[in-house]
Amino acid sequence: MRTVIGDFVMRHLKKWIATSFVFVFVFIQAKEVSPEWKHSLNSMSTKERQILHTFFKTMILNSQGGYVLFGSKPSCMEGIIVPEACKTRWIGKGNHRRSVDLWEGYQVWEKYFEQIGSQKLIITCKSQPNNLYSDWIHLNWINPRKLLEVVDENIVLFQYVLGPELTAKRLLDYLTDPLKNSLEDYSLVGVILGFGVRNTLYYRRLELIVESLHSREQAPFKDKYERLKIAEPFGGSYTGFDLHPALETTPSFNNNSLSDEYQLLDKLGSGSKENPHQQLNPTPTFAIYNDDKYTRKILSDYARDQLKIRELLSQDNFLEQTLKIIFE
Amino acid sequence: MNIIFSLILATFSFANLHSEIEKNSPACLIAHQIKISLDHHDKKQIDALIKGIEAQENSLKLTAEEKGVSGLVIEKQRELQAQNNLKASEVWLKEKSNDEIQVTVPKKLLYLTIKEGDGKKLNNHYGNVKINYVIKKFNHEFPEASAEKKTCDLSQMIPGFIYGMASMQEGEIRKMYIHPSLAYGYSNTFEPNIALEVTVELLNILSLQGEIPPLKEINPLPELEATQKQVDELLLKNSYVIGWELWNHLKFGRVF
Repeated sequence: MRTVIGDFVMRHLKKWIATSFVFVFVFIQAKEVSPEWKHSLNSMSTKERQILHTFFKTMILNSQGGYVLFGSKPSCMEGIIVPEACKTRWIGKGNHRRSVDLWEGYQVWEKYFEQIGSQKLIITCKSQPNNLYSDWIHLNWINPRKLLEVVDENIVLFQYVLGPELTAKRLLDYLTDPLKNSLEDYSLVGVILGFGVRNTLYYRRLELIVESLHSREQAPFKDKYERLKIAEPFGGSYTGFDLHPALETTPSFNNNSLSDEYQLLDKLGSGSKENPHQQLNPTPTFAIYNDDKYTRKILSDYARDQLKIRELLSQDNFLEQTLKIIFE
Repeated sequence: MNIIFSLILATFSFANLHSEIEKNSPACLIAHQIKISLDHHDKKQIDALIKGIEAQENSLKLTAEEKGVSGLVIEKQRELQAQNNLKASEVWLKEKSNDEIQVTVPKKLLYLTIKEGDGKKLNNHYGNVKINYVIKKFNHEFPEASAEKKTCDLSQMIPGFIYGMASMQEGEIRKMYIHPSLAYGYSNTFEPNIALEVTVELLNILSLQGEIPPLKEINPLPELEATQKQVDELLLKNSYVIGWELWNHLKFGRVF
C-alpha cells in the first residue's frame, strides 16, 4: 500500500516537477526574447512618450523620415536652430517649434534607444553647427542598408570627391559620427538623399547658377545680373545677398551665357513633386533630368512607401508601431 | 501663466525683484533665453518689448502697420546706411584730392601713379588685359578682392575700374579712388554707396580686341530720406511687436 501510494506520489511529483520546469523554461525564454526596445518603451515617462511621439510624427508626417525608415530613401536631414542663434523674433515661429520638437525628441531617443542597434534606421545628431550654416545643427535619419547600396553604386564619384580610400562603410561611419561635420559637397548630398546621380548632378549645376546670383558682387566685375544676362528676380528688394561670400560661376560647355544655360536646364528638368499642401505625406520632391529605369524605381519605391507611411500614421499605437518597425 | 508673466517682466524690469526669482525656474530660463536672443539690448528696446508683452496680455490687437514693421525696419536701416556711406565716401574722396592726384571724373574718379610704365599704352581698341589688383572698400583695412596675373575683359568691369585704367602703360601701377556711382551704387548685392580703392598693375595688353562701353554712372543713387530718428522709432515699434508675438506664443502656445 505504502509502495502504491509512494509510486503515485512520486509519479505526480515527477509530472509536477517536469511541468514546472517547462513553465519556468518558457518564462525564462519569454523574458529573454522580450525585445529591448519594448523594455525601454515601458520604462519611459508619459511626458517622454509624448515627446518621442511628436518627434516621430514630425519626421514621418512633416519630413521624409518615413521614406528612410521603409527603405526608399537612404537618408534625410533636418536642421535644428542652435539656442545662441535663436533670435527673440523667431521664438514661436514654425521653425522654432520644429527645432524644439526635434531636439527634445532626439534627446529622448538618445537616452532610451540609441544604444539598441537597428538594421533599418540610425538617428544621429551632429554635436556642432554645420560648417556652412553656423546657426544650425543637423539631425540625420539614415537607412544603413540603402545608404551603403547607393554609395556602392556610385563609389567612383564619391572617391573622386573624398579620396580613393573611401568605402561605403567608411562614409556611413563618418555620417553617423556626431563629431564629424556634414558633407559639404552638395552633389554627394543629393546622391545620399537618394535622388539619383544624374538628376543630382544636373540639378546641382542649376543650383550653382542660382547660388552665384544669390551672393555678393565679385569686385571689380560689374553688376552680376547685367554681366550674366539674367533678369534681377527680386524686384529690387533687399535680400541680404551682400552678406554671402562672392561666388562666381561661368557658363558651361557650349553655352554663351548663364542665362542660356539656366533656361536649358530649366527646360530639360521636371519636378517629381506632388502638391505638398494637398497630400497627407507627400513623396519627396526632386528634379528629374533622366526619366530612366533608376528614376522610375525611385518613384515607384516612394509610392510603395507612401502607402506604408499612411498605414503607420493611422495606427492608434503609432509610437509603439514605429519602434517595432525600427527594431524588428 | 500669470506668475511666469510677472516673473519675466520682473527679470527685465526691476532689479530688486530679480532676487525673488528662483534660479533656474522656467520663468528665469525663458527670460534668460529672451534676453540673450534680443537684437538690441538697450533699455528703451527692452521696455518696448515689455510693453508689447503687456499689450498682448491686455488683449490689444496689432495694427496692420505694426504687423509690417519688421520689413520696413530693414528697408529704412539700409537706406540710412546708404546715406551715411555716401557722405563718408565723398568726404574720403575729397581728402584724397591733392596736387599729385590725377582726375578722370571730377570728385568721382581719381588716380595716383605709383610706378610709371614703359610698354604699350591702353586705348579703347584693347579691351583684354593681364593685371594684378587689390581692391579695398574705402573704410576697410582688409582687401575685398585681389588677383595676380588675371586675364580680364575690361568691358565686364565696373565703369570706375575701366576708366581709371585709361591710357595706362604696360608696367604701370596705379592707385584709383572710385566713387560709388562708378562702382556698385545703391546695390542690394554689395554695401550700398561704398567708394572703392583699387591698386592695379597693368602687366600686358592682350591682342584680343574688345569693346569698351561708354562711361556712364550705374545704379543712379536714389533720393533717400531715412533719418536715424525714424529708424530708432521703427526699431522700438518692432520690439513692441516682438514682445506681443512672444507673449502670444508663450501664453497660448501659438505657432505663427
